Order: sequence, then C-alpha cells, then structure tokens
Amino acid sequence: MLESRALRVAFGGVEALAGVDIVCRQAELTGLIGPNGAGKTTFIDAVTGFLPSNASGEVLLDGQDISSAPPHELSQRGLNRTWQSLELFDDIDVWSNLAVASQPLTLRRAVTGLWRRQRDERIEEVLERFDLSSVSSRLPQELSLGQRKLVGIARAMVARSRIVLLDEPAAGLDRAETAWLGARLRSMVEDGATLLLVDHDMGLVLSVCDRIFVLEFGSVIAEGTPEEVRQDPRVVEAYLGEEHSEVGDRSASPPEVPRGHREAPR
Amino acid sequence: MSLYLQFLLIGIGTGVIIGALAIGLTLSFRASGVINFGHGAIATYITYVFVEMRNNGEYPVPPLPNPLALAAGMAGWFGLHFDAPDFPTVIDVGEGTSLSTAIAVAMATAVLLGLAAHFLVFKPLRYAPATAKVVASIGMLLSLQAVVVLRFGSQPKHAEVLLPDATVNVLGAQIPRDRFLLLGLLLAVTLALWAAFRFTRFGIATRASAENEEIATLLGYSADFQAAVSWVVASVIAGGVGILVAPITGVSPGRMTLLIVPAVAAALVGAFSSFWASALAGVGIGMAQSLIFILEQRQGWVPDLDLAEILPLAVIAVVMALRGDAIPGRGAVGSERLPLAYADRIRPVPVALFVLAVLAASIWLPFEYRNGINNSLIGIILALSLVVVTGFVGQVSLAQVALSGIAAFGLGSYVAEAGIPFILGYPMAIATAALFGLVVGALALRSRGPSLAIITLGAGIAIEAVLFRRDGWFGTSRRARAEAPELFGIEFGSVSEFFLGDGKQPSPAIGVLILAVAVAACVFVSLLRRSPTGRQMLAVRANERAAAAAGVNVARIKLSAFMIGAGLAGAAGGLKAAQLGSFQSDTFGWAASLVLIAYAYLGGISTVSGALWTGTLVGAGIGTVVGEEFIVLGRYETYIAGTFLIAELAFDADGIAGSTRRFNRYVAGKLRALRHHGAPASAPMGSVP
Repeated sequence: MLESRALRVAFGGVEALAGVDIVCRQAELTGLIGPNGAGKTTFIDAVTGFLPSNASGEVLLDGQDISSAPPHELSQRGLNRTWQSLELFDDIDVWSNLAVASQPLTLRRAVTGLWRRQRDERIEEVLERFDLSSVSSRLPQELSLGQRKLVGIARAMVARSRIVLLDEPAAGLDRAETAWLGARLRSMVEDGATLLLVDHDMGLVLSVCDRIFVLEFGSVIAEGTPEEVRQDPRVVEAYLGEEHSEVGDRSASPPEVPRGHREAPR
Repeated sequence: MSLYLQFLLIGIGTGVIIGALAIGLTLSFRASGVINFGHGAIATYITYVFVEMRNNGEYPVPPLPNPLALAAGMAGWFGLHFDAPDFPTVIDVGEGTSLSTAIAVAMATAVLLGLAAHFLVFKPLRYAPATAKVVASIGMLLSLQAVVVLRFGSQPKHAEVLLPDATVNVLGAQIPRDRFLLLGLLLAVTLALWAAFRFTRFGIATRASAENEEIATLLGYSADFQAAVSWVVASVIAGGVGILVAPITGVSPGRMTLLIVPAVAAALVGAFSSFWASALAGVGIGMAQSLIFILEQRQGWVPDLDLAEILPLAVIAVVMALRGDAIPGRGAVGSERLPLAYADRIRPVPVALFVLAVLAASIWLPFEYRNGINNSLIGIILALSLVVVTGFVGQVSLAQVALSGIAAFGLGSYVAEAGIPFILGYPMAIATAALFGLVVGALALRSRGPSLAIITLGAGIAIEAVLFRRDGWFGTSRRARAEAPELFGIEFGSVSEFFLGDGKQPSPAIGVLILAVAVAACVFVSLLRRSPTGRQMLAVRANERAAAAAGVNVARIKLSAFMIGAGLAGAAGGLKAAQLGSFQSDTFGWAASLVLIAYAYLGGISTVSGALWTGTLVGAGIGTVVGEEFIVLGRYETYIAGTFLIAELAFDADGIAGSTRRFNRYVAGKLRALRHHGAPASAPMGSVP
C-alpha cells in the first residue's frame, strides 16, 4: 500500500502540489486523473524520489516512510514507475531492458555475472504476459509505439514490484489498443498487482479503476469509486464538463476487447 | 615589493590572450553548444600565417605542404616510384609585405578558418551528443597542431613587436606599455560583444537560439547563420589578439594551443555565458600565474609545486564546487545517439587463431614490427579503458593516459625500489591506478558532457604536474626505472633472453607478456559488456533517470566504470613501463590522453573490436609501422588522424569497427540472397542497425 500524506511540491514560488493525500490500496487499480498541469506527473516524480529538494510531506510504502529515499532504492524496495515519454534504454534489446530492472546488482552478481548467463523466469513470464516474447531480442527503436509502451510497463513490473505507477500509458494509443491495455491492467490487478494509473483518457480510467482521485491545481478535489467520482458535482464542473454524457455512455459497457485485438497492439 | 607588482602587471600579456580565447570559447558555446578545445590552435595558426608573411613574404595555402607527396607514397605501395611534382603550396607575396596587408590577409584567413570550423566540423555535428562534439573539437586541435608543425616546423619563430615597447612606471615598477594597450583592446572587444548581444537583433536572436533552437528557427531566425557569424568572430578575435601577443608568449606550435586550459577555466568562471567575467577571469589567471612564478622563485614559504600550471585547475575545481554543473545546458534540436555498443561475439576458434598469429608475429617478425605490435597491444588495453568509461557509460575521460602513468611510476617504485616481486607489484600498480580512477570519478560525478571533459582533463594535468614530475612514489624529477618483469622465475623484459627468435631487441619475451595481458583485457571487457553490470552501464548511458527508476544505482555504476577503466589503463601503463625500462613524465603527458580519445573514437569507442582498431592505428603501433613501409604517412599521421576523426564523427559515429561490421553484414546479406535467389537483393548498405 502506498500512501502520501500532505505531499507538497514547490518549484520556486510555484506550488505544483499543495498537500496531497492519496492512497493506493493493495491489489487495487487506483486512478489519478486531472486536467493538464494538475500535478499528476509531479505526484509520480515526487513519490518516486525524483524531486528530493522540492518535495515535503510524508510518503509511506507499506507503512514505512520513504520520502527521503533515492529513486534506485525505491525501485529495489518495490516502488516502480513508467514514463509518459517512454524512456527506454535504446542501446540494449527488450530482454536486457527488463533484465536491468529485474534484480538489484549485488557485488556477487556483478562478479559471477561475468561468466554465468543470467536466467530469470520472471523476465520470460512478464514478456509472455505482455505478448513481447517474440520481440525480446529486438532493439526498442525497432518496435511500434504500442509495443514500446508495453516494454516500459513490463520493465516496471518485472522487479517484483509491490506497486507500479503508470504515467499515461495510453497516450498515443488508439481506441482498440487502449481497451486492450485496460483489460491487461485489470487482469494484472486480479492477479494481485497494485497499480496507480495516471491518464488523460477518462473512459479508460473510469472503466477499469477501483478507486479514483481527481487532481486539480495541485489539490485533490474528489475521490471515490468511479460511480461516485462521475457524479461528484465538483468533478463534473472542473473536469468533465460537457464531456460528461459521452463518458457516461462509454462506461455503461465495460471496455470490450475487440476481436482480433487479443494480441499485443502492433 | 615592486618586483612582485611588476610580475603581476607583466602577466597581463598572457592574461589578455587567455581572456581573448575565453571570450571566443563563450561565443562559440553560445552559438553551437560546443566547447572548442581547438580554439587555441586557431590562434596559433593565424599567428603563424602572419609571422610567415612578414618574415618570408609567403602565404601558405592550407593545409598541407605537398598533398601530392601522399599520392606518390600511395603509388609506391604498388611499386610505382615517382617524384611528386612540387605542388605550389605557397603564394609568394613578396619580401617585405606591408604590415597592413599582412594583417588583412591573416584576418581573412581567420574568417575562412572560422567558417571552416562551423561548416565542416560543427554544423554536421549539430545533433551529435555532447561527447562527440567534445571529441570533434579535440580532432580539430590535433589537425591544426599537426598542420602547424608540418608547415612551419616545431622550432619557435621570431615574432614582430607591433605595440610600443616603452615602459611606464607604476608605483616603482617598470611595466611595458603594451600590456595596458592590450588590456584596453580586450576590454573594448568585450564591451562590443556584450553590447552586440544585449542590444542588437542578432545578439538577441542568438540568445533565443541558445535557449530553444527549435522555436527560434520557427520564428524565422537562422541558428545556422548566427553560429557561422559567431565562429568567424571568435576566430578573428583569437587570431588578432594572438598576433599582438605573439612577442610576449613566443611563437611555437604548442604555446597558444595549450593556453586552452586556462581559457576554459576563465570561460567557466563566466559560466560560458558572460563575456565580461570570461575576459576578466582570463586576465586574472594570467596575472596570477606570473605572480606565482616569481613567488616560487623568491619566497621560501611558497612551495615549488608548479602552482602556476595548477592554478587553472584550482579555478575549475572551485567554480564547479560552488556552482555544481556550471555550464548551462543549451537547447538544441534533438540529439543523436552515441555509437552503438553492440556485444562483440566471441568465436573461440577464430579468436584463438588470431591470437596465435599475433604470437607468432611477435616472435619471428623483424624487430620494428615486433615493437609496433607491442605498442599496438598496449594501445588496445588503453583503448579498452575508454571503451568502459566512455563507450559503455557515456562519460568522457581525458585522464586515462595520466592514470596509466600512475601505474607505470607505481610499478617502478613497488618493484625496482621496494623490491616487491612483479607478480604482486603489477596488480598493486593496477589497483593504485583504479583507486586514482575512483577519485577522478568522484570528482566528476555531478557533471556530464563538456564539463566532465574539463574536469578529467584538469585531473590529468594535475596528476602530471603534482605527481609525475616530482620525486616520490608516483614520479621522479629524473628518469623512472622499471625492472624487467619476472614471473615464475622467467624474465619478460625487453632485453630478456628468449628461446626463439633472432635475439634482437625487443625480446619476444615482453611481447608474450603484453599479448597475454591484452587478451585477458579483451576477454574481460567482452564479458563485462554481456554481464548484468554491463547492461546497467548501458542503461545509465542511455538514460540516467530511467536507469535510476529501474533500480540502477547510477552513481555507483559511474564510479565502477571509472575504477575499471583506470585499472585497465593501469594495466597498460605497467606494461609500458616494463617495455621502456626507463621513462619520464612526458610519456604519460596529458596531451597523450587527447590523442588517445581521438584514436579511440576513430577505431570505435564502444566495442572491443573498436579497441582492436584503435590499437592498430595508435602512434608507433603496427599500423604506423606497416604504413611507413608502404606509404610515407610519417609526418602526416597526426594530421590524418585528426581529419579522419572529424569525418568519422560527422558521417558515421560507430568508428571503423562499426563500418566494418556494417560492411560484413551487407556482404553476408548479399551472399545469403545470392544463395537463396540466385540474384543479389538490393538492401541499402546503411540500413542494417
């Protein structure tokens, strides 16, 4: 379980997050939505230790304060993230991209790794899950955007994460691909994963998340189940506006995975 | 007291050229995001052109004395011997060229050189990673330096005094008046530049481009045009001030070229953005160096530590410590990748055959070939040290040769002085180098790209000045001595007896030892590339933030790379010491590190096969020996290396190793296509990643 308490982030005089309390419960898919500039990515950056000199407040991972830990340590402790702008390791193949994250590098591994080939079923398993097995020896630049997005998520998942923060994983994907991704995230949560989904796509967030936090101007203006959030007047006013009816329509039926799109988005 | 005041003020002379170079560095950085290590060499070349015209009435047509000699040498390869006709490489402007003509022509040359620097070197590299740009500017330094030596010889020249040399009395000290005139000139130039950047449309546009080139371009400003103008102005200032200062600094190939180090320090004080701070810091450094010089001579309490040489480094260190990464990032349109770091495939049989062939060659070939092979093998190990630091982790290091020197001097002390057996002393020397590498890495932890280059260059110079040239564990004021390595009762020195071969020096024994270490180093780096550590290194190189988020301890990976790299450099240094038997600090001088990174980029900086090419090419290596036999490369070597380096960076950053790999794959693809379809397929050669 990940919990932020009165998390503040200030860049100079500009307050990007003004005391945010967000809870991601175990084995749930938590959504974080809000208009551009609301502070969604800033929240992920702050929680994962990338803003050590700008952030204040408490961040708890399974009850332990992690607000002063550096990013690599947080990753090793099970808090992982993806990036809106992919940020894959371009010089190494997909398998190696995952291998970097799969286990921390101890001195022992560094030495024995010189002659012993790393075998890691976890990597194969995650590749399998994201339909990436067939491209595991390709370089990231040889993949489609959708596949690269999946590599980013797979890389964050492979480290036996306790929680993964997904920064706009659906950005740039088409509708069918988004739906496929939503179903995949949902099934991961059913298998026990804990996820935070930050996205623009209201349809996706409202349809797959268990709980949703709505961020605006650096503050949480609403939280609750998708149903509660959808009916919250502040949310309707601040974010959904005239889109409301469209969102309602879409969420009436859960995301349907179109036939022929069972495979990874190409 | 007046003596010290006199030296302080006399130092203005050198200070002005440092300041002028610093302004030029700032200007070209703001225009192209390049820290031009070749800027001092531009000043040198222009000064030489001027001196040559005034002294001999000849205008040299750049860049080479007689390009046809190259063709003649190439023909000699095929057994055709002819005397190359004398190519008209000078324009006779007549004895006694007037001063104004000479200055005008020299300045015109400066304009051309500035344009050439922009259009031939840095414009093609506009999208290249910072590391590649740094290396390209080193290539420019090497080429220009080589041209100057080829053209004008390495002897110092007489320089004409252009400014009045009468003295004025300042508080009892007699100071030549030219110092104040030069200072006035520098301040006027600085004022003009400051005003131009502040008030003119051109200046504002350049600032905008530095901030965000893409947007500035969309607004209709040509960043390209601005950069070209900036390069021309920087080059003219450097040349003009160079000509005026020449009587003070002297005209020799190295003098102004190497003032680039204090100039970088001065530009750093101005954060590569303030002309005023850069100029004044330059003058200050020149004055302080002059004062330190006399204090060391006259005052007992001042330690004789070559402090004047270390001063620029102290300035760099203080600025970096106070401001962190002091060089502002410059907005550019995208950025290209570093050379591809593919894992070399190790095929046991071909590798074993190759090693056996080298072994046979280093036993039975004539001695000059044996020596060339030994130099190349040591070069390979040095190149591998850069493969780890620069190729795998993306950190430029200009300190590798100095680090190898630590092991060389250390080995001398441990074995020859302290009597420790070689089998212990050699690993100890390597470990010492690794330790120093760790320190350099720690200093460099917070910086990247150009500022990292500056810090490591500074560290190299400091190691040379503080350790190598003074008596102690890691240096000597005379010549250091290394005993013939002895392992298991067998001597492996250059003059040791060996049961095979012709009995001439170098003995095959040292060759065997060097080959063994080189093979071990190659295998080690290949394994490292494929190991979890190697993957983390490449992850850090590709994207530090993402690597940290994926659980990679970025600082630790960088430090390990510096340590491993320094250890490899140390392995090479120890062998060099054993090969030479006796050596001096200049074998491991910091300039050698610049040449090394040039060759390493040329060979292919991110792969083991690239290191093999680097070793082949490296000075006095087997490539040179074979080359001398067939082509008269000799004197042209550095020039060719520098030029090829720039071309390599501009057209194909993967080095010779990358090009051959692509070629091999292309041929293999064709062959496969032939076999399958009976006709060649038309795959474009550049398309295979």
